[in-house]
Amino acid sequence: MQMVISTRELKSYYVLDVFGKGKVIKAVDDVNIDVRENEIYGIAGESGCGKSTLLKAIFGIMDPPLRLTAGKVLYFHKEQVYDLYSLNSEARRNLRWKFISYVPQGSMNVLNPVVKIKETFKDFLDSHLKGKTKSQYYEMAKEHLASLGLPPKILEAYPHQLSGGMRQRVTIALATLLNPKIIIADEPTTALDVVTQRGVIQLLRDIQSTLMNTIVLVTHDMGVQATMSTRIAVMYAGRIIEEAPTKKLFQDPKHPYTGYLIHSLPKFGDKSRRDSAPGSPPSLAALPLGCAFHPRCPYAFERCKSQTPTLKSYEPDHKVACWLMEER
Amino acid sequence: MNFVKRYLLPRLIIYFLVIFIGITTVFIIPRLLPTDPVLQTITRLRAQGAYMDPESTQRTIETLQELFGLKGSLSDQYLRFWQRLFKGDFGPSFFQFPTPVITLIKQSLPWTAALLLTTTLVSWFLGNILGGFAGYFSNQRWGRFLDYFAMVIRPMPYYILALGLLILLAYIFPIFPLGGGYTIGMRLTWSLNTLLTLLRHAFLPALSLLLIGTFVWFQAMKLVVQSVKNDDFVKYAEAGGIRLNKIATKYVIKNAMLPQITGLALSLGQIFSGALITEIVFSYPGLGTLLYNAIFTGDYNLLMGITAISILVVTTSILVIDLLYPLFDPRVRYK
Amino acid sequence: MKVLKDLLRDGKFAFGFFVLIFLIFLAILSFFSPYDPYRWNLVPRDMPPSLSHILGTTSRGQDVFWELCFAVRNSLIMSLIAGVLSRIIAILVGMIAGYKGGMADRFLMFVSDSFLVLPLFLIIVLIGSMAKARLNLVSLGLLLGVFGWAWDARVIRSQVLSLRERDFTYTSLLSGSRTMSLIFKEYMPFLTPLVFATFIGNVSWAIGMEITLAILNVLRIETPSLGTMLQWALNYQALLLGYWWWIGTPVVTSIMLFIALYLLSISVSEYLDPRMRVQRIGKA
Ligand SMILES: Nc1ncnc2c1ncn2[C@@H]1O[C@H](COP(=O)(O)OP(=O)(O)OP(=O)(O)O)[C@@H](O)[C@H]1O
Ligand code: SF4
Ligand SMILES: [Mg+2]
Repeated sequence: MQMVISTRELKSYYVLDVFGKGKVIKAVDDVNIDVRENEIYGIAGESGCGKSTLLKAIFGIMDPPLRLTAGKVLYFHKEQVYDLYSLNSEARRNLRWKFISYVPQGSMNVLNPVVKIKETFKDFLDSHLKGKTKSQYYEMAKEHLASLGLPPKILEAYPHQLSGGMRQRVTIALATLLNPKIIIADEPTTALDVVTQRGVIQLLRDIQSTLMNTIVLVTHDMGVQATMSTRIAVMYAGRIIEEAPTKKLFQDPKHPYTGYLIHSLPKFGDKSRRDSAPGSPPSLAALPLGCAFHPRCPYAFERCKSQTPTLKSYEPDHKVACWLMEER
Repeated sequence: MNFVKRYLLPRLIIYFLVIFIGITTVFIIPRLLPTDPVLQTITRLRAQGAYMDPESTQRTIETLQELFGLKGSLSDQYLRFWQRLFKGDFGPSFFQFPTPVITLIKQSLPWTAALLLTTTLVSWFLGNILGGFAGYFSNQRWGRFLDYFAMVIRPMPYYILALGLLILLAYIFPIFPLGGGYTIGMRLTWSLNTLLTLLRHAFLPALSLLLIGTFVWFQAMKLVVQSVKNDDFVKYAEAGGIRLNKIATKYVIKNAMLPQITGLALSLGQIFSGALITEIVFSYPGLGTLLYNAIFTGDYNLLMGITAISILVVTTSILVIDLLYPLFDPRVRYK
Repeated sequence: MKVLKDLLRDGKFAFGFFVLIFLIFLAILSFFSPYDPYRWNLVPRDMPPSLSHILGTTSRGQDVFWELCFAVRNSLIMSLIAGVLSRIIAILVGMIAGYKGGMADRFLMFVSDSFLVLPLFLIIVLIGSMAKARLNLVSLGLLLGVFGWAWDARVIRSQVLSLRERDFTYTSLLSGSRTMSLIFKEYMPFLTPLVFATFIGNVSWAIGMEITLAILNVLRIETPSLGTMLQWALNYQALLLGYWWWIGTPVVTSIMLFIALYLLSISVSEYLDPRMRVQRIGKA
């Protein structure tokens, strides 16, 4: 199948200076993923494991203290391969929104509070298209909202007048404005009530089925992952530790951490306390040696404490980074 | 209407309360201080060699008490103070006896208002626009140049900056007049010539105020912009590939302006204090000079009059800005 | 010490720091002055700088250098009184308003708003001109302290408001520590940078006010200070008569002092603001 985005040994660290002392937070470490055409690629993992940072690195947002430490991000667009970090800023700008667009985490606050929604739509259109009048842009925005089943009236509103769910939908609408090949969405359903969550999920699904584009969906909510994603990557402490098609991952999780994640899902009728991984995630500034999960892993053995397992295919389409796989 | 109840009403209440407190303070201060203006005036008269027999002394004391509003019990005095205030009556000036204080103020106020209001507004605009761009494009050379310039101008005591300008541009290079608001003996008529003379005289004081003012706003704006620059909606616009000039103006500056509007209101509070030094240095015929004379001659009525007027003018202009604020911030407008 | 070393690497801080140290040194030196600053005609008048009077002498027959030492000492003491007093008020008001909220908040913010809106400078001048002879440096310091807290209290309040949203308040509340001690123990570390930066700003404001009030002739002019020194020089037409060492000394000293304080405050707040710090290395 055709690839859309791929990362090669991607490392992206926050380099901080805390009262004169240097501190490095390894938020994305040695990540290799291949996102394919027309799939919904889920990225799961506990809070703080580096999901948002990975998306930023993929999208090319490197604001200090975040730095691209090593590796590459490749875009496959119109029979051409673009090495994101070797492009100049104008070339990067040209790929944004036309090839790849972004729904950031906390989308509630990403709209300019002092202008009407239609202004934001106009600015996005205006910066990527040329030679249209203001009213043509407004017209385009109206049509686009209508095609997504959203009330065009909201264009006349200010951000603070809309509910959180509506603002989230507006950012999704903004992301699909120029029909990009790939949309990366960071926790689009978090912080919404259940009903609104359903609506947003449905919106994303509709978009994907009509436009046939790719979605990279980051959410720590395994329930959402199960219903939305076609393939899932599980992240732990800045690394991908397992990747498989959704069904396979849920039926046969191979990494102990994935097991915990899945078991943390509430099951219908089950009132017992859910089983989450014991202990708490490690600080990304001071990772344990070897497998980062070993202090919490019930299966840990000697090798885990000194050597870091790498992500390897053990079955077609199923990659795992765990020493247990070698032992078998 | 909700807007009236949540926004307008509290502000109006505070407006009147602040005026009440301010005017009351002006009433109380002279009465709290251990100096007695009546006695002081008598002493001064005596020192000037005026002979007074006990009877006429008593009469003078009574007249003075009347003029100072010191007759009767404290509450009587307070009531009368307000009554006279509503009529715009602050009593006669002592320094230019018997011209009423209000007449003196009326003569001086236009000069100060014209000079200070223009420079305050112009420096506000200039400083905010420069600071906005310098803050957003913080790696540009011109921005850093302005920054260093601001670093020297900003902490300079205004008095010294003004004096320096005067020495440089009126004394060493006599391009501008040494002082005054117009040429002595000139008739103020409606003509181009008059206007040019007025402008020439106002130039140096205006320049000194603009220099300080612009860089004060420049730095404040730069700080606000540096924080707005990191707000989610700016980061998002950048991620979306919106053109940087548009982000700078419509996203960053437009939002960073909001605290600066409040700042403008507060800086209007300093207008009369600013006028004092400016007008002394450039011998400009405004309220500041009047105030200076009042301080030197111990003209309490004039002092109290100027303070009371400035409380009224300042609080009113702040109220006006406060009421205009919702025009710029939709979050306040539609709540 | 480590912090100081870090800060000294910043050119702005180093400049401000050494200027300030030098001025403090002058202030301490005043205790060893051979002359009484209140007495006239102790030395020959109007002498330009020489070996025996390194900054010359004044028309009042005083040694400029030793007078400067007294002036610096008094101006610093006065501004410290103002700075400390207004810090105490600002911290108390800001914390109580921010933490208690409700009526207390509304009342305190109303008071601080009034202070911001009223032309305080004129009121101070009014007080000064009426109490003329009595307004010595200590009472001036106290007066300025009482008037100089309003804006900083607002800043502290908004900081407390944002801190209150954080988790640790709840945990401490649950563990039952008393409110006031909780506020101080938990919030002070976060507020210290702010308090420090506003303190420097306030000190510099107070020194400027003193100079202005002295020029307006509403202070006790016998007490040596940067303001009265300038006022005497202006009074004796030092500029016109070409006694540059007399008028130049307080002018240059106060400009240096203002620039030093200003640079210190930017440098320290940059150092304490993690975001700015990160930007600094991000660029490097
Ligand atoms: N600006 C920053 N400066 C320093 N460290 C940061 C910054 N942003 C994130 N981090 C750290 O990087 C790590 C990864 O953060 P990231 O936001 O990518 O996690 P996440 O998986 O998206 O978490 P969440 O589910 O909470 O969104 C975290 O430990 C976080 O503390
Ligand atoms: S590598 Fe070892 S510690 Fe890590 S998950 Fe596998 S078994 Fe557990
Ligand atoms: Mg995240």
